[in-house]
Amino acid sequence: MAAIGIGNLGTLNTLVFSSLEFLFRYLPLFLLIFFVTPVKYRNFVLFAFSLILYGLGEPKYVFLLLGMCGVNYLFGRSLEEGREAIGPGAMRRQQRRRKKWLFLGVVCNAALLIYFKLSGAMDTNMLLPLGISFYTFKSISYLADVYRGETEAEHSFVRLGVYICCFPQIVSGPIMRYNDALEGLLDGEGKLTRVEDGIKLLVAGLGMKVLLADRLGILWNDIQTVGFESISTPLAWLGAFSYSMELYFDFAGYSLMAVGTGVMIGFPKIRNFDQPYSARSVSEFYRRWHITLGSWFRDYIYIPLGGNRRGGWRTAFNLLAVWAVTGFWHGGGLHFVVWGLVLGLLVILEKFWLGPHLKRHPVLSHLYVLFVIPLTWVLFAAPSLREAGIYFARLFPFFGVGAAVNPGDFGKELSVFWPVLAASVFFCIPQVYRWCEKHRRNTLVILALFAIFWFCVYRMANAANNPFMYANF
Amino acid sequence: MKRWKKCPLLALLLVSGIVMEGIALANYNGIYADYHGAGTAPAVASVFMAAKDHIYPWSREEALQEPGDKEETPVPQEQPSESVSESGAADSPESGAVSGNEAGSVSGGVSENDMPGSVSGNETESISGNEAGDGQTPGSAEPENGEGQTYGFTQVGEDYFDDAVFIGDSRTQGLFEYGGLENRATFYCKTSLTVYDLFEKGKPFIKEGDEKLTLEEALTRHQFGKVYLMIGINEMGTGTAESFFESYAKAVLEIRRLQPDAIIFVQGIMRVAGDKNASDPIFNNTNINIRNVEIQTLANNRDIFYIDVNEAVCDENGNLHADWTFDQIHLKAKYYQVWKEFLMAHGVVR
Repeated sequence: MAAIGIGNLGTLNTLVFSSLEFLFRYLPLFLLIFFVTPVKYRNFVLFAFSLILYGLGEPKYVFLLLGMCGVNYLFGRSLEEGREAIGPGAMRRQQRRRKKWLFLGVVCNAALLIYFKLSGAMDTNMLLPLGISFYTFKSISYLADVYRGETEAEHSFVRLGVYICCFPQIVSGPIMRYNDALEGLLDGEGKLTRVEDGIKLLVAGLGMKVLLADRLGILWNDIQTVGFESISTPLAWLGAFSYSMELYFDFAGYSLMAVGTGVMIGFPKIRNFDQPYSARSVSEFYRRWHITLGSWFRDYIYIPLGGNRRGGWRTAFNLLAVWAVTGFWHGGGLHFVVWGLVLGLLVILEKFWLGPHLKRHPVLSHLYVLFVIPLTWVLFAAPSLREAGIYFARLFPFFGVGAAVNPGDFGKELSVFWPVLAASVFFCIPQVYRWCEKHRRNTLVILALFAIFWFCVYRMANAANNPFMYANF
Repeated sequence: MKRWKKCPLLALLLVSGIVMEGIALANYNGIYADYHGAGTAPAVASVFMAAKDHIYPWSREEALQEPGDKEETPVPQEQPSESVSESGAADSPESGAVSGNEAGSVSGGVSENDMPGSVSGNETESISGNEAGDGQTPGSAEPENGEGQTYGFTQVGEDYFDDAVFIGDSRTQGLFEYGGLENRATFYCKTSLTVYDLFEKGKPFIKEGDEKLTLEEALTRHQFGKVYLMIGINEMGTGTAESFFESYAKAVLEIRRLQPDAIIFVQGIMRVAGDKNASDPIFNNTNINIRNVEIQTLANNRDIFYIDVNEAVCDENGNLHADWTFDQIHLKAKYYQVWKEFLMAHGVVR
């Protein structure tokens, strides 16, 4: 998903996990080097390898990335100084100094991100430095955690570099916290069983991305080819549902691949998506969707703003602020901001009124989420606010907008896409994923993963060769 | 060994990966020689790309050399336009079925075309050259209608299409779905259809009831008053402009033979939008125009006419209107109307 952080990747697929180059070249090569290297040099290998991969895909901005590592390293160190100051006067002075450094550090990272996001919004041809949305967020969380004393400042530049640049997470997260990273950074001892666990996650994620999301993507592509103004109302609804599942499998699958790669080299298994479509409110949905981003916003924006401790109006304002920033973070376009604000309003509505009603009605609350969330994704998916408006007019065709509509389009698309749609719905059922997770050592599950892997390779090989991944003419 | 038992998936993938890679490398210059196209892709990709064409590790190389399979394999393309005229050195006026292309007598419709480097003196040569080697379709000869009289284009109504058939790829499919002619005309079209599918491979792409017919079967079963053909973009990645045109000309001849009374409209291939034109080394308007110039040479303005919808759907730079397309290739649904109106403005009444 271009919208979610995979900004710019040149022709080299160095950091696209769902590419043959990554799976058959860079990853095996890295694992080989990593595991033959003595434990104490492994962080260095990971750091160097990450920079090389980044540099191959994005030569222009690799120095920016390295520079930001240096800047954040220095900020971290200066935040650490004087934490154990003695005497009330000295403490207050140190506290003020540290606050100033934190402010500067956060501004430094945020300004960089905002600068690129804004230029990207002004000039659609400009490409953001790869992964900037993620590594600036990681850096800010690191600085804030050091400031709050939740973690020690890192004294090793290489270890901090690994945290910020490590290739499994640089492109699209998850936004791992520094405390979680330490597990991998300090204990570099690789175990084969970890590789096995990681590879299972990687293959599962690959399957979600290549076999489900990419196929569903063709349906959404068809809808855009026809033009929103010309789709029938049933197809508009099918499109909204199918896009919702596409986005989930694309992002959750990709995220799972990143987590799996991380697990192989000793990082913890971070849960970034947790069956979001089983949620019973929009608020719950976003506690299950892109969890590391949501918790970042909670810990570093919502709570510092006062969270819900300063009365109703202030809580509502804080929520709206967080969601506006969330929208902007996803993309510079106005429709992203509107998307964020709509979600913010829904969350406020649930907090102050709707929440208890939803709790009482298990069936209705599920239907509510499955109805509302796809509608918000339309805002997210449309290329502009105007186009989103046209799409809504097709979803709710009370105003007669529509040109050259072919009422047979729904049946035509359904006859082509029903297998992948059915499979996608099946894998959105929480019990299915839990069962697979629980029985991951079962021979059948292993054989299924094995088959999925090679089927994905088949699809990728033939998609890469085809200049129009989505369709022939 | 004990450790590996704890990692069955890793072991499986490792072993199978090495085997696959070995197969790919062992046959690198053998059965997979034509599948290294994807640039940076690892060798293993070729095993799967070939599998899609039903070429498996156990397939024998000799078996693949049959002429029928030749088109399947991607051939390095890109052909400068000159090569077309060069190739057809031999002048053979007798073979005339399609070559009767008196440049002098071209009337109204064709000369409207603003094709860059439009039909020049070499077309007779190129066509007859392509025909010369094949010497086929003995029975087709020149259709005996109107004693060589030529016709211009006139405005017609929608009922003009009542006895028309449209043959083509996904663009024609779009015209079928959104042009509003689905209840009048017949459509023999399929996404990703190529000119080779029409007769050479005889792909059964036409659904009639429960049957699947080849174009030959369908055109034998039904007679039409007008035949519209737009095809040629899918095959730009394979073969050359020359080999394409050879097949195209043969297909038109075959249609002529099967539909002796129909007016045949060969349509110029619709161009792509500007961004794609600028970025795609294969599917760009230069290559489309090269093919269209050749297609145009088939017109005789007696029973075969060339029409080019690009006149109606392109901007001043000759690219498909950027606003009219999402994917740079297909018209958005509501603009198929423009194509239909263009067709109505270019009817031929004999």
